[in-house]
Amino acid sequence: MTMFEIKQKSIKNDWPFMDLPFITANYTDILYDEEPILFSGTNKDGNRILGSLVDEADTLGFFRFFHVFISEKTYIDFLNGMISYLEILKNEESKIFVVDRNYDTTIRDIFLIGFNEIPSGYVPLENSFCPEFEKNYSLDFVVSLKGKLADLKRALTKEISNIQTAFSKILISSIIPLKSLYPTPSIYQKAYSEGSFRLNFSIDFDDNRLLPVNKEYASQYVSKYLEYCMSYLHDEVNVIFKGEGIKAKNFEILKENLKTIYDSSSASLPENIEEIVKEELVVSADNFEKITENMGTNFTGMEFLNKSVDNENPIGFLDDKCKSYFTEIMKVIEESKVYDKDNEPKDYSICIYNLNTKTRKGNAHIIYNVGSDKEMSQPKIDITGNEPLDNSKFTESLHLNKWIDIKAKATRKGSKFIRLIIME
Amino acid sequence: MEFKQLHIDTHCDCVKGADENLYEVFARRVRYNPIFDKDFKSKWEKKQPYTNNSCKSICSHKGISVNLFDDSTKEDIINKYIKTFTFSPGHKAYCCTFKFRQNAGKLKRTESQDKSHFDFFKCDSFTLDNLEILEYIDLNDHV
Repeated sequence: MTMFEIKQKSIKNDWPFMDLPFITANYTDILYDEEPILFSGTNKDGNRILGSLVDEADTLGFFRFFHVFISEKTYIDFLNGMISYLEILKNEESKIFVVDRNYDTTIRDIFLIGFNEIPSGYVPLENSFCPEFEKNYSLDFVVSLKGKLADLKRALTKEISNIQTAFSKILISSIIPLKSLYPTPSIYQKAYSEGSFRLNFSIDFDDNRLLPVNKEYASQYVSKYLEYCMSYLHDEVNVIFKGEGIKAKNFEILKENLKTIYDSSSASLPENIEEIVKEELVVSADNFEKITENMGTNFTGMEFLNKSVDNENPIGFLDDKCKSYFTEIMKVIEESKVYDKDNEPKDYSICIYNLNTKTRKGNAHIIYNVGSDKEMSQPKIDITGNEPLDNSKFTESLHLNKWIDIKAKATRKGSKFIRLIIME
Repeated sequence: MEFKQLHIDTHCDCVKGADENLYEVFARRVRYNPIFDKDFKSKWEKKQPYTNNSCKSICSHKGISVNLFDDSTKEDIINKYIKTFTFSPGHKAYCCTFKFRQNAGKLKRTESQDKSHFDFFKCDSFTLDNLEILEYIDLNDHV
C-alpha cells in the first residue's frame, strides 16, 4: 500500500529543520503496539515533542510519524486528560512535522504541514485523550524556572530562597501521611543545574526502618500528590473542604494510592488519613501560593519534574495564569474554617518583608498577635487598588524594613493573623 | 516443525519454552481485510535493526505479536486496539481473530503487563493458510 502524498517539498536537508523535529532525550512511549503509536520526548534544544505513528508504507519500507512541538503546560494538560491529541494538532499555532523513517531507522523525508493538509482518514479521533501508561517514578524532583532571567541561567537569591523553602515544605507535607511508616524522612537539596534555572530536590526515607520501604509506591504517591495540588485541587477544593458537590474523584484516587503503600507494608491505614491529607493540602496550597507570588517579574513559568534514571517526567507547570489558582484554593479553605474576620477595615502596623509589586501580593510581619505580647504573625498581604506600588509606602517598608500604619481587613486563625486585605 | 530460517543469524533459541496452540483463539491488529503476508511480518523480517543484543530482545524482534482472545481478555484487547486506532486511524483498522492450524509455528507468552500477549514464531513452512481466520472486526465500527 502506498503512503498518502504530501505536496510540499521535503525539508530533510534544509537548515534548521534537518534535526529540529528529532527526539534526543526524555523519550517516553505513551502507547505502544509493536511500534510506538504515541510518544514524547525533547529535542536538542530541550523543546517538548509529542509524536504519533501515522502509517506504514510496507512496500517501500518506511513508517510515517507526526511530530508536533508543544509547550510543557500543554503536555501536562494532555497527560492529565484535559486536552486531546486532535485538539493539539488542530491548534492554529501547531506546526506538524511529518517524519518518514525507513525500517532501518534512517530518515527518508521530513515535511512541515498544517492540520488541514492531513487527509481525513489519518486525522486522530475526537476522543484521542492520553491513555494510562506506565511511568517510572523516583524521589528526585526538579523545579525548573522558565523565561526572563531564568533563561539566562540566573535567578535572584531572594526568590530562589523563597522557592527552596516553600517547595521543601510542600515535599514534607506530601509525605506526612506516611509518617507512621517512615517517621524520619529528610528532604535534601542537590546542586543547582542549568537549563533554564533548575533546583533539584530529593526525599530520603530512613531505610533502616523495620517496615520495608516501598520506594516505588511512595515515589509514585509523591508525584501524584504534587500533580493533584497543581491540576485537580482547584476543581475539588469545594467538595473536600466544604462538602459541596458530588465527589472528589481525584482525591479518592490519592487516598487509594496511600492505601496501596500501607497494604504493601502490611500496615493499617490510619483511620484519620483523610483529615491528615486535608491538613497537608492546606500547607501545600499555602506554599504553592508563596511560590507563585514571585512569578512574572524575573521568570514567567515553573516546571515541576520527577526525575528517574533515564527520564524526566513533567508533573506540573505553573505560569502567570496559575497565580490566582492557589489564591482561590486558599480562599475556599479559609472560608471553610472557623476563622475570625474583620467586617470593616481596621488600623494595623506592619513591616513588609516580601512583595510582588505586579501581583500586589506578599507577606508582612504584624505586631503581636491578639492577646499576646510575645508572638508575631507573618500574614499574607493583598493590596487592593490599581495605583502602581513602586515608590509607595509599601515598597519603602519592604526596602527599609520600616513599620507602616495601614488599614486592612484581617483574617485570624485563633490568635494568629493569616491574611490582611490592605485598603490602599 | 523446523525453525532454521528463524535462527539463521543468531545463537539464541527463540522457540525454547514455546508451544503449538491449535485450540485457542488469538487476535492481531492488521491492515488488510483479507490479510496479506505483510500483516504477519516480524520486525526482523522487515529488517528493522535490533535495539539490543540480548536473546530476549532478539527473539522478541523475530516474533509476531498476538493476543489470546478469550472471554476474559476480549474486552481489554478490543479496547486497546481501539485506543491505538484513535491515534493512528490510517494504520491498522482491523482486529483479525484466528486459530493456528498444525505446523504454523510456536507461541511463547511474553513477560509483560499484558497477560494476553504472546510472541508467535513462524516455522520455516509457514503460510497464511496455516491460519484459520474467524473474524475481521472493523475498528471503525467501535469508535
